[in-house]
Amino acid sequence: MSEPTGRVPGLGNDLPTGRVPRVDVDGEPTLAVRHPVIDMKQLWKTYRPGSLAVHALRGVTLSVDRGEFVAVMGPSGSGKSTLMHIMGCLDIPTSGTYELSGEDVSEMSENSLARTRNREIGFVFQQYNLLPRLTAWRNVELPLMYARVPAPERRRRALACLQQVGLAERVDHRPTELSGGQQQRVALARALVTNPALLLADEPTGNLDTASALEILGLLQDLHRSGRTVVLITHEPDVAAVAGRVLRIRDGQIDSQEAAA
Amino acid sequence: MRWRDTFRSGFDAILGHGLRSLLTILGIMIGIAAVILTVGLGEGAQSTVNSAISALGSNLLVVTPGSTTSSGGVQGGFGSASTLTLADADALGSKRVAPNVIAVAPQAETIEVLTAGSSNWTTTVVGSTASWAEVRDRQLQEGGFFTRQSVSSADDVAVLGSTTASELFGARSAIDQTITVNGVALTVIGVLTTAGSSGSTNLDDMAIVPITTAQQQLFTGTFATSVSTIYCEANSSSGLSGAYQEIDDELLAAHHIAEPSQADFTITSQTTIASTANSVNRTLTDLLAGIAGISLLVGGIGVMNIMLVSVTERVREIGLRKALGAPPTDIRRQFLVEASSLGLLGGIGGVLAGLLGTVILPHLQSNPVTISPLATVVAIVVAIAIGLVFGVYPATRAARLSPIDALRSE
Repeated sequence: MSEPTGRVPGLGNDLPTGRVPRVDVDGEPTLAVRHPVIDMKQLWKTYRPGSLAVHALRGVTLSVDRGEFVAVMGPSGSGKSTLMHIMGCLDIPTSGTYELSGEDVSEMSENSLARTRNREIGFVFQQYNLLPRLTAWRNVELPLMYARVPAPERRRRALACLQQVGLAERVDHRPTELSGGQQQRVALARALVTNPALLLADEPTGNLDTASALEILGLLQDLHRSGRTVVLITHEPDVAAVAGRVLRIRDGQIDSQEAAA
Repeated sequence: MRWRDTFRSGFDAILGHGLRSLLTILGIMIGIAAVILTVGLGEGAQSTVNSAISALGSNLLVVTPGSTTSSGGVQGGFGSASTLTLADADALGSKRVAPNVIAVAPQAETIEVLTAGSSNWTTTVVGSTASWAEVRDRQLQEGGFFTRQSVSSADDVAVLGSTTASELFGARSAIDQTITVNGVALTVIGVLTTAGSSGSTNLDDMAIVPITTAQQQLFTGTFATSVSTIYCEANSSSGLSGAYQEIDDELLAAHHIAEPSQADFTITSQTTIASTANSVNRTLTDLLAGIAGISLLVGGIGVMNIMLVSVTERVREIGLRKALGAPPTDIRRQFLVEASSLGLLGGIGGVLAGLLGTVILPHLQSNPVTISPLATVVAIVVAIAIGLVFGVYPATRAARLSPIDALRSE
């Protein structure tokens, strides 16, 4: 979780100076190799190859540096979801390379992908996706169970993350006892608890009222300011506006990149 | 995921769907209880048969008239002939002829009406010798048994079974009372202790008289000259086969039969009676256990059904767990633990229900029910195995779900 991951791309990186301090959730400085969190080159994703091929992605090349806050915008059917799935290691590209924190994940096995998701990526979904039977902190500790972290440490870290998103008072509530905004904050805490390299938020405000949406976006900005790498996928320009950089995707290709105003 | 966490998740899921889990557990439970009880019933019946047979007397060989081919060429049925005589019994009683046989009791019996004063009672009148009580392993509660002397002088005496005595004399003592059979007055000299019943024979309802008295005065027809059974007691259980051989040789010689397969008598030992009775029991037990096994199979299919429903219902949860980093092996393991826990709970429930059955069943039928600890352990292991086996397919399906499709499903 906190150790530097992956191989160093063979370009003669100067290791000692290539390492920069990174501050993680617990406030412990750790070392990480300086390379982009996301490095995609000529990514293609083709569904039903052969008979009636649908190209969801047509040669996407993009890179997200550590500590960046990037929004990916695009209308529905643009390939936005496919890009998010590949970015989140839920799917692999048909061709091209994808390096996540310097590790090539484009041809990983299902088990390795699961491990990578667990360690490197924190998901925030539009639907929150909390398990209704579990209390807030039990939901938050879930990724740590798959990382085989011992129970006392899981609880400590889950509580710390819930405090970070302002839910210290609600740790023993079940999702049904929480408002939409609170549920999404629990989901955010769950995304943070493994201290991932990348926070991947897929329409995180899609189900929220304006006030809750602003809260969540505010939290994402706070996390970005504290050094997190955040990728926000949305179709709303207002939401994308909080990011430092906006990528527009259309017909499976990156249309334009612009710095947010 | 650590095993402890896997088990906790499994039990959470089982408790989260209480009623459904309970019904599934019930399916396994009934199957296990049925298997345990049928096997227990079978074992109980077997021990009943064994004790009934050993009640016949220890180290006993029973010689009965066997099937014979009559002069007309018609094969007679078992027991239909009357080829055994008192002379055969006397010969077997000789130490020189059959050293392994320590006591011989020939027996002939007919159904007669016994009269004592104004009461009468119809029962079996057995003619035998003084060795009868020893050979049949019977004791007297009152009076004594007739002696060799009584037999050789054909005394008019009788020993009554306890039921017969109370039917004829009520609470009064039967000793020295007179009973009349076929116009012959007999003096009661003893009453046997209660022995219960062996199969369909009531061992307490009979009158035993010296065989000489019976043949000379009471019986008419075939039993005036022949006997229906010769009971021979061997000196020890290891002497049984020797005694068997001696009896066989002597009777073949006495009846002038050269070919043993043509023998006009049959020698049965307790072991052969027991093994015949037990093989019948075993067949019945196997049949019932087979039926119970089928109900267990149905219970297993119930587990599979519920686990498939559970997987379908929790597709979204599975997708989420996968997105959070659960490898397929962890997902598969979680569902297998859930399925085998259902089996385990069903197994424990089934054993408890079986134990309850051992308390209730003996009140409903005559046989005792015995459950061995081994059967209990095996039942629980089998229940877990059933959960596992029938959980494999649902668990594999869950493990193979694609996280994207799973997360998308509503």
